[in-house]
Amino acid sequence: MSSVADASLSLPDRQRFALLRALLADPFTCIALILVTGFLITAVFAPWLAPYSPVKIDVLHKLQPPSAGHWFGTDHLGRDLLSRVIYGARTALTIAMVSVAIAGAIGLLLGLIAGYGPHWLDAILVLTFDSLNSLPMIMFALAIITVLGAGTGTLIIVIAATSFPSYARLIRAQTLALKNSDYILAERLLDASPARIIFVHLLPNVVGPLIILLSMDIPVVIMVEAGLSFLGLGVRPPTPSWGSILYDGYTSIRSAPFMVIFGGLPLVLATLGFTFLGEGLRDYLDPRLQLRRPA
Amino acid sequence: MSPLLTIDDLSVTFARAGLLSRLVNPFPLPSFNVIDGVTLSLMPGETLGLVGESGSGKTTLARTILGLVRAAAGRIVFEGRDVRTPADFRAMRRRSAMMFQDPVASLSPRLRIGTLLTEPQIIQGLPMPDRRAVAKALLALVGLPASFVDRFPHELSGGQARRVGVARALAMKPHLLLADEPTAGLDVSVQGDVLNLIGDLKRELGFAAMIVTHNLAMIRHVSDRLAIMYLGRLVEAGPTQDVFCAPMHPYTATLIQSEPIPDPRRRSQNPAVTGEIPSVFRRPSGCEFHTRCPIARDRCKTEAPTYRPMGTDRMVRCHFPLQTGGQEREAFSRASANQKGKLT
Amino acid sequence: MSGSLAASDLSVRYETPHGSVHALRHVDIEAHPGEVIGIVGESGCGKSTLVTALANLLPANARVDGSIRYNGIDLAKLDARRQRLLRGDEIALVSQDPMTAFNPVLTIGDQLVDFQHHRKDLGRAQKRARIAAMLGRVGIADAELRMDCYPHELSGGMRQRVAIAAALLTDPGLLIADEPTTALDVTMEAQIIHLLRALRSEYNGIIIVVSHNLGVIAELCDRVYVMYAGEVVEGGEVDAIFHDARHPYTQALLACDPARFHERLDRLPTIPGSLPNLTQPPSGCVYAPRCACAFAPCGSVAPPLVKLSASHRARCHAVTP
Repeated sequence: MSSVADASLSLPDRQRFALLRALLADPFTCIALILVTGFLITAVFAPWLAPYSPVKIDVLHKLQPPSAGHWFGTDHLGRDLLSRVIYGARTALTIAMVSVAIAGAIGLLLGLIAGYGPHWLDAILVLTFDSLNSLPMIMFALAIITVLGAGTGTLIIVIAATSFPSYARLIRAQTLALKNSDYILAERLLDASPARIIFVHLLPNVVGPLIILLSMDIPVVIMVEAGLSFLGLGVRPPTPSWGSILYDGYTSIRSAPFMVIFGGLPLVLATLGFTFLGEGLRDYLDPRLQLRRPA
Repeated sequence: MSPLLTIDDLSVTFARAGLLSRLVNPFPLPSFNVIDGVTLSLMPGETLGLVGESGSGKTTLARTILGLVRAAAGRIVFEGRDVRTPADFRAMRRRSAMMFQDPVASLSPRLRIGTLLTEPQIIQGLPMPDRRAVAKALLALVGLPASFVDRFPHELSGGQARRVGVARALAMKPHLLLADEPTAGLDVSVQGDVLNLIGDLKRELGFAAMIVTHNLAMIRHVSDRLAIMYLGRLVEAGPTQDVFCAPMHPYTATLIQSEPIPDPRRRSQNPAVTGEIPSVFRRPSGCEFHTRCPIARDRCKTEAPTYRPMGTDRMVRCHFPLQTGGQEREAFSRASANQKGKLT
Repeated sequence: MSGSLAASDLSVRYETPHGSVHALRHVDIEAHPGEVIGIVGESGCGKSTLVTALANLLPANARVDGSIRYNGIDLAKLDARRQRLLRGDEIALVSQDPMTAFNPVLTIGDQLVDFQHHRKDLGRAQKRARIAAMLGRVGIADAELRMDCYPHELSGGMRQRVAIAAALLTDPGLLIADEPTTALDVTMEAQIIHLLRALRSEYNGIIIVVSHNLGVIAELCDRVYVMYAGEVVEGGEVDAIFHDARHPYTQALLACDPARFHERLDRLPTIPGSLPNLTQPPSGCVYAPRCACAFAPCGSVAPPLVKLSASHRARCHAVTP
């Protein structure tokens, strides 16, 4: 019925900031936007926001509870915990966004090629995606780390390599569905080159669901990074990371329980923020799934 | 004058297993001819109506002509040259255009109308100093306001999108226009607009058109010749007025009789034909129409009729074609009246 | 049970983020048992809204004014449970695409058994027997065999027959066929038209046929309402509408149908202009901006419904009895 109502409407002019306005209409998405923006600002302006250097060791004042001088207290080496959490945001977001962006770009490209390209190429690419997907992530991470050594770069490679196949498969499925649509046939009749069809006509129409998936995967990657750092497989020790704060807190949980709380809280908040943002984007971009927004 | 387009014994086969799967799979899928031995020609500047019900293969035929579907057999000759290789099809597509059934769906949804209208020229690498001016000129050609260049396809009504489709098809000044159901989904007060526009532009630009449709009431007014398809085969072809006034194939006759007449004083007494349309995957033996034909005889069940010329300009695929005022026509009206008695 | 249906001064508007859409304005319609009523109009004329309002299936954002009385009961004022009961027993809908009306994973027979859930007095075997009889009545051969088919195994024409059988199973007082032949091929369309016509002789409820196809309406209906932009602009006996149309829109619509002309036309007739914006319906006649014979009052004063004969009415300033 809504189609009847819509048909009789004159189409409104395209509203500026329509996306932002729609996202702010939902309270969850609104909170998510505040959280995500907050974390982004924290990450970018970490050197100005952090009261101390995150790596300055002060063993005389180790494991101090929160105080006016150290709002979040200090860790087992006497480093200021607030500064470490702030710099940890930088580490977490850098790794999460860079690895997800790389994985998304690779997945997008390979998915489009697999979906639109010749059948044999599709078969090869799908086989590759499936084999990469079947590797257990931790084992794969261990293998890569043995070769390249632990560190931020290695972490990004591991995460990107293990997550791009699922993006590629999403894009491939979308592309296959659009491949025989009328407008792609129309472009083929105009003798548009495959590159033109892929980049001008297919890409803008398949990228929407990928953006949603990517934004919902960022918190997963933050957790993975924290988990690997917790295991000592992630960022190397002096670099602050939420995972390593948790690990340090875990070893001294009896004497200084606040460390686990202050290490875990930003992790939880960032996860919630990005997840809600992803859901808000999905509601906006995929009207079929509009569950929360009123009709 | 030599024909612009000639199609000779064209067949299209679907669901044929590849070499490898035929070796591996002990039960390969049988293949089906969705287009079977179609022969027709189109003169420059002529409008041909290709009429058939769903599943008759009319859209597949149009797509095969432009090389979107590969033909299994037969030949296509365009402007005196054989069209065989992909390069031949490319050359042919440069001089022809197609309008799709769903006008909005055939426009790339994320591009603006201005970009869509100038895409053919960009792809052909033609120099174009001012894209917007070219787009506006094309919009003016089909009677749309210039402000439409900044719109997106989903912001257009069915009739407007259809006009954009016409503009895009004619951007490269084609010699041949293939229009697939150009009035599908349009209101009766708007469909005339689109057809008049195509007619006007045809007179102005002189291209030939092939209109694929199931709408008999419409095609009667816009085509010079008709070709009727049933289950992937042509059953009749001839000048439009002659076919409407004196159909020779019983299927054509039933199609014309089945059209509801917008006049309560002339209500049809009985449906002209009973039974379901068979599927190409289970093509009846002999003449494919014998299962529904009111005048089918034993011969029709076993022996497939050939597509043969009748008189100077008509073709028919029937053992017992209806002749004006002849025995068969009377038999047809009698038989179809009898058959109706048996219905619900 | 069958009774008369009367919608009087019925208006429906949809509340949308872009304002309210006045989809239906001051519609008066009546139908009596045994009649076949046609509702004809082009897209955006409000015929789907009218059908959904009659079937009590309007979406949540619709606001209804006026009344729909069926058998003396005002449908709009019933509570949800009684509305549902009425919908199941008394009002049946046959939609344009019967494929979407059936559950694809259940057989035809099972679904038609479920359609009779309110008949507590019948056993499963009896229900199946009723179905077989009904399928036979709508012209399906081998009814027993077809009951074990899934919807996708039937052709479009066959599915539409099953949909009609399903609608008739509950013996409704009101059968609404919304574009019943639009999705069908012309030879199948003719068969369904004849089926509906054959059924009306045995069925004593009201049949409402909604279509944009003038041919279908002329073939089937006793009385016709012509709709434009949410209003009924003309209504009357089918012969009066097709041979003595008085409203300029009805005349133009009839003139546009290429099926009426047997000689080849060089130019097909059209109606210039476009539908008014229904968020702000014009204060005068809705058709005035496109009307060839509009004069002074048409732009500002809403035309009255002029009574032309016992059943023939037109909403136009230029019409006089």
